[in-house]
Amino acid sequence: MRLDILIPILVMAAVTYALRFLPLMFLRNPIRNPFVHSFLTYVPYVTLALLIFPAVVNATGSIYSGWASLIISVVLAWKGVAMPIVGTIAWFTVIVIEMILI
Amino acid sequence: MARGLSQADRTAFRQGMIDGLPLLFAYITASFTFGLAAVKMGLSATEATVMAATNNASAGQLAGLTAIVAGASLLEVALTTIVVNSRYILMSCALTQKIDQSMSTPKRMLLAWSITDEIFGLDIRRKGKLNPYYNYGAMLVVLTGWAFGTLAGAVLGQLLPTRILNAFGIMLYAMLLAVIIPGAKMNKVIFGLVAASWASHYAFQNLPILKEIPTSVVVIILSVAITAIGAYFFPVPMEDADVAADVERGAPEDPLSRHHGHEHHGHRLHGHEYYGHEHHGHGQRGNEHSSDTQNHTGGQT
Repeated sequence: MRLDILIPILVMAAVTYALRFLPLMFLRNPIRNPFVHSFLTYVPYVTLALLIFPAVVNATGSIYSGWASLIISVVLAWKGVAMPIVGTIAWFTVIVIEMILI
Repeated sequence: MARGLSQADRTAFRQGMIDGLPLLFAYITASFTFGLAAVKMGLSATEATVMAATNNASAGQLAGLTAIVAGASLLEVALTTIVVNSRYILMSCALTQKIDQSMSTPKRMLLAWSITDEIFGLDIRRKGKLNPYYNYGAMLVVLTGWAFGTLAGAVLGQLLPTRILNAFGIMLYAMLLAVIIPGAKMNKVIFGLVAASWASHYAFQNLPILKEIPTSVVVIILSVAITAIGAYFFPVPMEDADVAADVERGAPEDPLSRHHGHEHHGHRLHGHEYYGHEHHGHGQRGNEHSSDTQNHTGGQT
């Protein structure tokens, strides 16, 4: 195990645990400020969206397979397909397209 | 420790384990694919398993992983993880309303460890006060599955040929899409925010000067800016705050209205792509439909 990987992993674990623990320990009321509540509701979607695109297009061997699996994943997710299945189909899409291209 | 357990604690623990079992399949399949993706991104099987066992958060892990492999600084990794996992703040706040206020610190610490989208989904369906042993039972089952599923996926990932493995890079992004797209489908504001995020990130990557800014910094800046604009102009409706306030004051004493208050309260505070369907069997359809369209935090594991 490499320290330069282990340390960020433990930092992630520490901040994630803090988010779970600190309110449970110290807050006695639900969050009622509409802005704070709305911010916390929306922020995961925005951050994940930013992490996905445009990086996803360059995640594979060619941008064609990247775009194709992006579009297929969006359609499947829109139809409510479960997360591991979306992942598996996207993976299969890349394999097929890259077999055709290369 | 076993000596100190009351009969009620034992019953709650057992019930938690039973209720955790149906979640186990979802946890194992999701963590298995996470393990595969993590190995492809350059982690060893041990590192992937340590990440899963210490984080217990799928979207947060995936986000942190992308930041780590992109060479982000520790601060950037921490900030990325915080923004993606910030919904746990809402869940943790909601649980404070359901537990015995005199609960000891060690029990609260262990209870905090159990907060995931799915276990929280189980909690809000429990009537009355939440016995922490219920969560301990549930997390013993599902978090064990989470760690072992990751290990299995990572080990298998190391055995597969490179060509097959290379395509696993896409899995991480596809799974993240499966997390956000259902929310965007159900809520127009989230839909708009996702579209704005993609358009602005694309602009940042292609416009002069802006494209010099490192991606990990862009993600954090745009996250805060776009979310703040969304939260300011399109706040999540909080019209049922009154019901929650009643519960806090302890006003409604009869079990029915208290049950109603808690349910309602839970709905106000969290999203539920994952457990929304099951809720429909519990009555109060009208309320749920109205809140369905308004409330969702991330539906991650």
